[in-house]
Amino acid sequence: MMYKGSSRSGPRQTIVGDFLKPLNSKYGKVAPRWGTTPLMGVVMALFVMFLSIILEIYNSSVLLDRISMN
Amino acid sequence: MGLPWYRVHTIVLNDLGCLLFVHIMHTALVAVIFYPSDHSYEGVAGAHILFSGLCFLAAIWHWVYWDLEIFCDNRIGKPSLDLPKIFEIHLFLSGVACFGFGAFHVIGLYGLGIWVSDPYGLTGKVQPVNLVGIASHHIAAGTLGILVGLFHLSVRPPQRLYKGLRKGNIEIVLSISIVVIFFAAFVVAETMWCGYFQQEIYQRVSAVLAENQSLLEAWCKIPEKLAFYDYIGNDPAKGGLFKMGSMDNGDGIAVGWLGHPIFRDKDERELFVHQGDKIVRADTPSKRAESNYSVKPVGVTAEFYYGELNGVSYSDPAIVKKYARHRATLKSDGVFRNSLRDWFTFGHASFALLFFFGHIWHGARTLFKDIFAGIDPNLDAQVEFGAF
Repeated sequence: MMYKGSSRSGPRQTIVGDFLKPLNSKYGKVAPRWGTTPLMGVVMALFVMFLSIILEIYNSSVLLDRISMN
Repeated sequence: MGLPWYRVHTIVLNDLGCLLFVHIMHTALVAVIFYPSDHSYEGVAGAHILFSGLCFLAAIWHWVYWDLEIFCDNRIGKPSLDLPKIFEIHLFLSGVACFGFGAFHVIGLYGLGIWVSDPYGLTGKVQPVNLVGIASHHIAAGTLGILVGLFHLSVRPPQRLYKGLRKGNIEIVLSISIVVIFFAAFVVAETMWCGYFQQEIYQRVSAVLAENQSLLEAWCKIPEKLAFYDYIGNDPAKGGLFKMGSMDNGDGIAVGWLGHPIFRDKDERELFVHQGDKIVRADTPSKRAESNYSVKPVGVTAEFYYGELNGVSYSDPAIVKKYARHRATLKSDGVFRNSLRDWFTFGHASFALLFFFGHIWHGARTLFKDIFAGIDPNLDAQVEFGAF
């Protein structure tokens, strides 16, 4: 920020800051409308199925030939 | 007019150097206070203290040099943070760390392994663990974190989700972070409440019997701590909230262990204390008409393994009934008082509920910020309200 009569030229620049600046330059940028939301929905559904499978294996509600819960 | 006391820490949001400072300082304090007590190797403890010191210095640097160009948005001349990008970076780095932990540290490829014992933390040592459970989970979860992180690196959030979830508002990040805390707290509270201690005990005994050793040897191998957790007097469901009284001779302090009783009927069938849907063979009837299964005619005997009554057998119904009530095996006066399982469950469940409330609180504040401030809720223009 600039103040009247100040000799400062703005926020401090650092070497690391210059490297990382591109990572904090796209504030507010979005993909139009729904974007990849359907893909996210599919991935969430698959993840829920995965968790249900491993839970039920561990709970012995799903029994697999080569896996024993003893 | 100053801020009300419960909002004073919000001022860090206006100064990104300060915001960074408080988070690094918190990490520094956690590293120095919490972790060294978890490890028995001085080098690891020392590394955490060193890390803590470096965090402390970094925090101070960031507090002093608060006005950094990297935080400044050239378009508006004011500071801003690209929150989705920050999330993506942290997810990717966490994925790398998680994978590295599983593939190197746990397996011992480059690292000490981990503190390995049984599920209840009763016995164990630090050793490399090969590809079972802990290691494979971290490798899998780490891989997933890396791949998903790379996905989010290349794709910006959809406008509908950005607006719907207020992704420009840092308070939504707080709300989601709180979810992680209360989820973990509920999991441990539930595990300690319900426990799986009896199942674990029987699994261990079965494993030893499968190796053709005797019942006595099997019961010898059960750690007393595990038996104590299984003891019904320690079940949080037993015992009052305010029964603080004298723990001597009460169920709170075990004086000794009489041993594990095995009940058999006159046909030498082994009987178990009622655990849900099993066949009833003996019980304590409330009416004479229901006395078919009473302990005396069924001929139930109790024989003890390990403990002080090792080898002793009882057939007197009164004594057998006494020992069928679990609490009798720990020489108590019969009054259920608070126990360690009790307090653990109570503490963690309480904090879990508090954090759940906190999640709803901050989530609601974020999602309804515009309505609270009087903005027309039907306004559909491209306006982002209350970003900071």
